Amino acid sequence: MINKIGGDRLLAIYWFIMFVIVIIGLVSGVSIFFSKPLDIREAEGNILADKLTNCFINKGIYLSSFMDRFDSEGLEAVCGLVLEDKTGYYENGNEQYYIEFKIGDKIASSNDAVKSKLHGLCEQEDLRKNIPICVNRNFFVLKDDKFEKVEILVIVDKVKQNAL
Amino acid sequence: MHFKRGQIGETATWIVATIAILIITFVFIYASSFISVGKSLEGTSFGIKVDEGKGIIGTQQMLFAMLNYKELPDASPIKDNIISGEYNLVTIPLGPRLTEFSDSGVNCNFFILENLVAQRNSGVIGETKLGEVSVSLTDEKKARLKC
Repeated sequence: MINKIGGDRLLAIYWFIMFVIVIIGLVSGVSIFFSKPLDIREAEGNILADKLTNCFINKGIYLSSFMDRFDSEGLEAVCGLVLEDKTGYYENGNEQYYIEFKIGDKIASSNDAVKSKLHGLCEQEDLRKNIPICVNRNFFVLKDDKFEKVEILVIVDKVKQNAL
Repeated sequence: MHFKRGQIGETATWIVATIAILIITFVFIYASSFISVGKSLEGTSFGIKVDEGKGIIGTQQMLFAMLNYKELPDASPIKDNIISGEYNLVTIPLGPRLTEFSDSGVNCNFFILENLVAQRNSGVIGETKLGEVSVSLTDEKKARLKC
């Protein structure tokens, strides 16, 4: 009887140790997974590309009036976009995005200085980390009753938030 | 001796169970760290260049452009000709246009779906799939662009 009580105690200690090990494993696994940053730049780029598309094109027809306004007001004002990062990670918050809308020989872009800095990095597919996400769109719309190719380029940098 | 055999067997069972629990725990931790590296809303790895093509909105705008296209300056838009029955899938003059798009790297197929009610009832027409956009022109006619 005395021996049996000792066995039960030993088993209880064993169970407690196992319980602690399993809990540590679960907590570690979950915290490792959720502590890594979630990269939403592609979704962000796609949303910006959609906004840009709907800004310049309505029901498949190119709105030239918006392009005329771009020259005087800039792309952000014309399309109602805010291209400033307010997370505090970057000194120049408005340099984390580059957007470009091209139809025929007309180009509307957000900031050419940013393009020269970021666009080269988009081509470095082999680098695989710490480079911007680039979203390209190509499609046709009607301009003066003729089909014209539209090219949209959106670059989202923000590597400090998404660096591994 | 007989008692000892029983004890050894029971101890071995617990040792194996402990090892199994530890292995499962380590596999779980390793898998968590491995999966977390590629965390992204769209399922892509970090830094890979994304070439979206047209996107749903772009495909939608392209479909509208096709429907609003006029062969001649004074002609009706194609959508009006489809609705009136003048154009059907065989006679619609978008074939050369689609070839032109294809040469520019934009590969799309244009469909006119007719007799929608009958086709839906017979299961011929399904829901719009990924990469396709549709617009209903009438109760019985629908235009679809698949890119």
